[in-house]
Amino acid sequence: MSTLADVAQSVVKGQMDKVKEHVQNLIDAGNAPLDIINNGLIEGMNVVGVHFKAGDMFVPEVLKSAKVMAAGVELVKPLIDDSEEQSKGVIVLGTVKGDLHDIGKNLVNMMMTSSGFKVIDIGIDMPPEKFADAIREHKPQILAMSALLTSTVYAMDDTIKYITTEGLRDRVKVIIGGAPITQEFAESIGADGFAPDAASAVDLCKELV
Amino acid sequence: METKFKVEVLSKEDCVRIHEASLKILKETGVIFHGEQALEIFRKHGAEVDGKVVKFSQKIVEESIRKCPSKFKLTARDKQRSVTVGEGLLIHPPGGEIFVSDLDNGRRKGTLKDFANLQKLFQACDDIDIAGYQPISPEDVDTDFRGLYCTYESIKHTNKPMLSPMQLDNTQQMRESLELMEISFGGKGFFKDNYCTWQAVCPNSPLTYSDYACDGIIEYAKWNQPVLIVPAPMAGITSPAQIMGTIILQNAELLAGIVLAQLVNPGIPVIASASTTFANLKLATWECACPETALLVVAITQMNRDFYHLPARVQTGITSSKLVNYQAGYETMQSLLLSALAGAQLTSQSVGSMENLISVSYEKLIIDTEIVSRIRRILQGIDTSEEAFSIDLIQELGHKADYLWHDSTLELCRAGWQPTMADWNSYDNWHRDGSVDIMVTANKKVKEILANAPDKIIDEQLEKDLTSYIKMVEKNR
Ligand code: B12
Repeated sequence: MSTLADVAQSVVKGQMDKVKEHVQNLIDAGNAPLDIINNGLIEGMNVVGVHFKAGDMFVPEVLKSAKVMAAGVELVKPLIDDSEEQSKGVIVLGTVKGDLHDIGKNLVNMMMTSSGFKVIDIGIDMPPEKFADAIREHKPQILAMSALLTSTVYAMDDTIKYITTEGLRDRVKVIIGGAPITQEFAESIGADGFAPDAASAVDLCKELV
Repeated sequence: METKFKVEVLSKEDCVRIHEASLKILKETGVIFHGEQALEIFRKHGAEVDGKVVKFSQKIVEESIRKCPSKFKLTARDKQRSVTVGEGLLIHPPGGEIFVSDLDNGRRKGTLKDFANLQKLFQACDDIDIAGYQPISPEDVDTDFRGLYCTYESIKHTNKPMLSPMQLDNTQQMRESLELMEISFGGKGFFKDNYCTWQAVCPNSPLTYSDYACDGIIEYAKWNQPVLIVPAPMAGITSPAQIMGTIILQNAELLAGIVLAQLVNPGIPVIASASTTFANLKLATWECACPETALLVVAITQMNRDFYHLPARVQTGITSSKLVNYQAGYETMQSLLLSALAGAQLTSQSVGSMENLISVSYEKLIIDTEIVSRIRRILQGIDTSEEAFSIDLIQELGHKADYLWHDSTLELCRAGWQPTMADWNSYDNWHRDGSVDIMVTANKKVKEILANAPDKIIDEQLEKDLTSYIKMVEKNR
């Protein structure tokens, strides 16, 4: 017999075969699909998040856990009808115009995704129009922007102004991050939040949605 | 003076294996170049171009390396201060830092005044050979003109050789900065015959040159200015977690950049640099301070200097520390000493940089010049001449401990290295003198240098020429 705790444990340990086995067992035993996701797979990732924050897990190990979780979700997904499928929220994420740095953005994506958010990563060097298009298309609750250069941080300001004139500002919460960003800067351009690292970015998103 | 002893982590065969592996990657996997102009140049010279991927033959790579001089003169406005890059150890300022700190005001965003102050320090510190660059980003200047104003302030406060600022966001800004600098050297055409500056070009690892990086190579090579190529992969993130794999990947990136530079301007000096780091995989961050990073820069220095005979620059003497403290000290010394002993000829970020290149400290900058000075002394090695053996003296004095009174000691007593920052006093004397911390000593030194630095070291006419050029640029934008 498998338990939800077994599923969570396999996610934490990054065991691909085990997670599939446990998830399948739970499905066969008639457990509710959403229960398996929320209280097994995502619960496992929550524990991973705690370990990561404490410095007990390395990023590649976290990534492995995220992959394992995703494989578990794949098994359960066919059993959920669309109306039931619920993510914590949709986030559009990208690096702003003129900026090619993406390691931080990718980490933020990984942590958000594995906490149950649906992340649309639109990539690097993204002009304001592309962020606006993505808001229209994906209807996110959160718009997240990354910048690592003191010259490109202003593109965040430009993007906020652009989506405001396009009438999209009220539809999303805007969060920003990257080495040059400070809370003060975030406030000065009218962003709704700033987080200094990927783990706190997730906390921030949870607060905002 | 070249050191007589050397640190090596690679054997001769290892170097050959790295070269061959890099050639294999260049030939089979190739390198992406996003710049249309760069692709056109490659096509014109018969390289295999497939979309944006350029594949290189052994021939074109090795011919290009052969065209690169192993040293060149970098001309300063004050000719006495010109240096030979590729000979001995040269120190240049940090670049790209986002925050600045000092003991009085703490950590904060930088201004143009900070930028100017830092140039004054570079000008005053004998252990810093080259000035300019961009030790801090001036937040009070419009981003469009930041590079230009940085260039102006550098000219205004130093006459050492001068690097171009980092944030020249496009070819137009590169051109403007170069034109302004050329004015300071006496006007148009000076750069055609003199190497005076360069800009840092970073490939976007793995194996990719952005549009912007291509522009950096092409524009500077066209101006007949040296090209600096700085691969900066992070082992485990943008290159293999194996140190050796990372060396090969960054080497392939470097060689691809060299080919482009030599196709644009055959014989142009290329400075080969390593900003390669072993990532901290706990956080997936670029980590300058791990011992593995120190090993990486030693290996890459061996490749660049000993194997390819290129001027070898390294990003070294860096720290992750948030404070100027014990950690900052040993992390700075760890890689700087090792790279110097490996024969690095030019170092970047070794004076003042903190937090993995995120901030620059006025005080650390001054303290670091003492580290440089110590290392320079170590590089001189020891005098092994007959006279230095002192056999006569040893026999003359026999078992008497009278060396302190002897003329031979008197003669040499000032020859030993002495600190300018470290405190070598006894506890009692240190306590009597106010128990001063090194940060306070450094802070005092900073203030003294800034108080004595002239408002500008250029004459009225040059200042007028420079400011009218800037006004012209601002008006036309
Ligand atoms: C790696 C790196 C590069 C790589 C980028 C590779 C890549 N694929 O991303 C390469 C070599 C290509 C590169 C190029 C350049 N770089 Co660079 N780079 C760095 C470096 C060393 C590390 C960045 C990094 O990846 N860190 C690791 C990640 C995990 O951390 P992070 O990005 O900060 O992200 C974390 C947080 O900030 C936060 N976060 C990030 N995004 C977001 C978004 C949201 C919404 C939230 C909530 C949080 C959040 O969470 C993340 C995870 O914890 C930094 C210095 C540094 N220590 O940061 C310089 C640095 C940012 N680069 C710099 C410079 C100058 C450049 C170049 C101009 C160099 C050149 N001359 O070519 C070019 C610019 C290219 C361009 N147009 O963008 C300067 C900045 C200068 C300035 N004043 O603006 C820095 C500070 C280094 C320096 N001192 O020179 N760079």
